[in-house]
Amino acid sequence: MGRVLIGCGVVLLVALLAIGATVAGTYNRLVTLEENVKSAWSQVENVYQRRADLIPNLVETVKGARDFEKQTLTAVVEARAKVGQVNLGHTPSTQELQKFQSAQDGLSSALSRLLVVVERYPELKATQNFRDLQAQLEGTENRITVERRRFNEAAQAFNTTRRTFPTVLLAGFLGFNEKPYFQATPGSDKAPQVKF
Amino acid sequence: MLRPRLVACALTAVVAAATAALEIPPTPRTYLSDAAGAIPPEQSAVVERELAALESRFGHQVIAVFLRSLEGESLEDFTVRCAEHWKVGRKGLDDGIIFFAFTADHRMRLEVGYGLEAKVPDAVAHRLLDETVRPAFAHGDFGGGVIALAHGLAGVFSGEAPPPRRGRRRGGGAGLVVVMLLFALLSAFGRRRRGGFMPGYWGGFGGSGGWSSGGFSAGGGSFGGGGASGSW
Repeated sequence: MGRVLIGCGVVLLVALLAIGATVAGTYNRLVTLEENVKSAWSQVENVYQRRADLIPNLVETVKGARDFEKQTLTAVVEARAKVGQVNLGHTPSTQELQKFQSAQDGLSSALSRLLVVVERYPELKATQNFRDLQAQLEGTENRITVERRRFNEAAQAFNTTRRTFPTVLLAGFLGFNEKPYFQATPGSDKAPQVKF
Repeated sequence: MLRPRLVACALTAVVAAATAALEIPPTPRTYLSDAAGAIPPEQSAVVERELAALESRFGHQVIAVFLRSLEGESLEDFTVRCAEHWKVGRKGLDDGIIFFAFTADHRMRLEVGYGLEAKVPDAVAHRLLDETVRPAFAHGDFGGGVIALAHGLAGVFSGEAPPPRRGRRRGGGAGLVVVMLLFALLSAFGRRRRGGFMPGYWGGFGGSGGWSSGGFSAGGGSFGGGGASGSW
């Protein structure tokens, strides 16, 4: 009788240990993957910030051109202000990412309109200052594409692991939520080409 | 309702990007890789030497890659994927540069590693392509274009302070000494015990950092899409 009880106890203990180990392993794996998502996100914010930092200089340079179309400039300045309001400093939820992306896309389109208008000002286009700014802007757009892709890849790696069995049973309980993705805006599968 | 569809969209985009991609060539073993046959053999040795000289002089790995065509791929997307795979530049310093040219498309790109973004900002990269490389390429002188680029980069690099500046590699010198001691110890030990000690690993080690005179070996640098694109 006693022996049966001890046997049961051992089996129970082994089972508990196995469950504990699984939970710990799952938790650690998710933590690692979530860290990757976080660092990818901070890179995303970095490169967007980098673009926002270019705007004042760009506006100054363009303003210098004789009777430059005011409307397009105002649109850029306003879009830049909106972008300043969505800086998060943490990995976004689905809604936060949507807000962030729509503000940033607003700035993207205001900028590309500006660059289309610049086409009508050949003297401005020819200045070294503007050409340098243009190169920086193109480079920044490219960095944004790269970091957004890396964020999506990190989020996907996290979500895939989170959804696999048995992790899926524990993820919610351990407080790990699905990570949102950047949505491809039409045409953005190619690097946003700011053509001059 | 909405979420699964959005996720599906995003996944489709990721998958599409992954499958459509032009295959990434294996990591180059030479400073100049000319799959497009753009540079005559007698000149390619000169180009190879010029690029190797940049690494021995400044420590920054600079390689040039000629390919025939992008096959409709996005230039920047393809080149940064290559850069991610090849890891040109020193680990931790991320000071690699890759020059790409696609001869059929007449497109080129300078991919600049994270650690050199301050030294070679996009505007400088753009000027190098536009004013140094393009004129030679327009005359079909591809070798001359790359040599001019190497000289241009040497000029940019020499305006700089000695490389170990980014905090991540603390006590790099001491670390190197330790690694070398360990290397010497282990290889002596290994040789005594059984002919060769992890021959594959040491083979790779000997080549890294450009210690051996022949060929190029990437050092583990990372890239974030800095640089510039151009055409000729």
